[in-house]
Amino acid sequence: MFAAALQAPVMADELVTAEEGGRPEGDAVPTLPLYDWTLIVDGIRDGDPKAMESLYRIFAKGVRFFLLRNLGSEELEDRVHDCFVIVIEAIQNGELREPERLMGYVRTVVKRQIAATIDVAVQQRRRHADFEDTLFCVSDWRENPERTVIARQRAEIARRVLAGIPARDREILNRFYVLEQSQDQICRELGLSYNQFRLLKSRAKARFGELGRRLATGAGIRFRRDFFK
Amino acid sequence: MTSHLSEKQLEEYVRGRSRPRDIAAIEQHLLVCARCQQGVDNAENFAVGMKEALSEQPGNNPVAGASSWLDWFQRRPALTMGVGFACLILLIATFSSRWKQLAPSASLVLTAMRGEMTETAPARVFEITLADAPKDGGPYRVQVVNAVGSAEFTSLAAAGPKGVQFTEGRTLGPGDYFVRIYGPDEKVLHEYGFRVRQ
Repeated sequence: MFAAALQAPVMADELVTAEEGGRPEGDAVPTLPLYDWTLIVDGIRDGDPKAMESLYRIFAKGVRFFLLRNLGSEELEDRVHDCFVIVIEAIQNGELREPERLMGYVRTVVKRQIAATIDVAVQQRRRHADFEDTLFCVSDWRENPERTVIARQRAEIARRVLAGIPARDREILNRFYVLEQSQDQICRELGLSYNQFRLLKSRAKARFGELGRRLATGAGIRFRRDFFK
Repeated sequence: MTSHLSEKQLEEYVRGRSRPRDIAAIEQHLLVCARCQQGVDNAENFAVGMKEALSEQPGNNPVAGASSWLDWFQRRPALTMGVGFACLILLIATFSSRWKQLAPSASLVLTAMRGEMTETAPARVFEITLADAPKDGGPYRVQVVNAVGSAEFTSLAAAGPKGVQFTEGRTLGPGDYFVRIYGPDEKVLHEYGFRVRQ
């Protein structure tokens, strides 16, 4: 029964083609994959374990994605589990009256969990700082050695990309990513068309992705001597 | 209608530039779309990597800019020496012409009375007489300090019938100065003020 609810989401093979042709103002928000939310919600309400399994299969990766982005990997699985417990209890208690709003509800639960975790971390830091004063500096909880290495690799790849493009292209990227100027302003001031601007970014991104893949597959990017220091 | 987030939407999302009314729909899509989750990660890596790498470029980093100037000069030692020599000549010429414009000496007779400060034109040396200082004893330690109290000159001066006399051999720039005379027990006996005009 739940195989039907889990039919393959409708997705295009390639990234949005309108982007290639020069998208005007206001992108359409993408359609959502087709799932039968009523079937899943009713199943959970009836205590059907397969319905709960379906819910988990659909949302686990996305919930983990948001929690990881916002809170880091610490206690990740526990937090994912907590989110599902909250959602399932809410459904079983009849708090979710419209099954088609399930996705919105899951998003709300995840956002609340993120906010609550940050709030607790802030309170703990305050107490910690009160007690310990300046014995220990309060470090960013998102920092860890793995992230540091990834960040350094990312910056090194970006440097290589920048080294291979003309100064004018660097200026355009600088205006966009560092000075945070709008695309309209950059195009106007530098006499670029939207497509030229988009193409420049696409090329740089493609090169960035290519170097990243080569690094990931061990095909060899030679890093500067001081990179691993 | 589209099935995935566009490059532009992904980029706006990771840069926090999505329209508020679109955010809920984008995030709901991200909850169930692995491909767009990957797209967000890629877009974020690119945007953050570019920002970090571009921030290191000379135009964006004053320290790096100075460093690249130094590197430029270090690669051209002959030119650097030439420029340095020219600067030195210029400096000497400037100061020597100013030196020639100064009067050879200026005599100042100071008394420790309240009132207008004694004024003098700039000079190469100042012959200072402290008229109401002790007429005998000594030698006394005298000190010239500037307006913020930093010592400009310190010496020992002998007492005579006209008071304590000494020659301040340093060129003083325009501004207010104070002369302090100390007794044998290092207490200040008198303090005198004078002003060097522009």
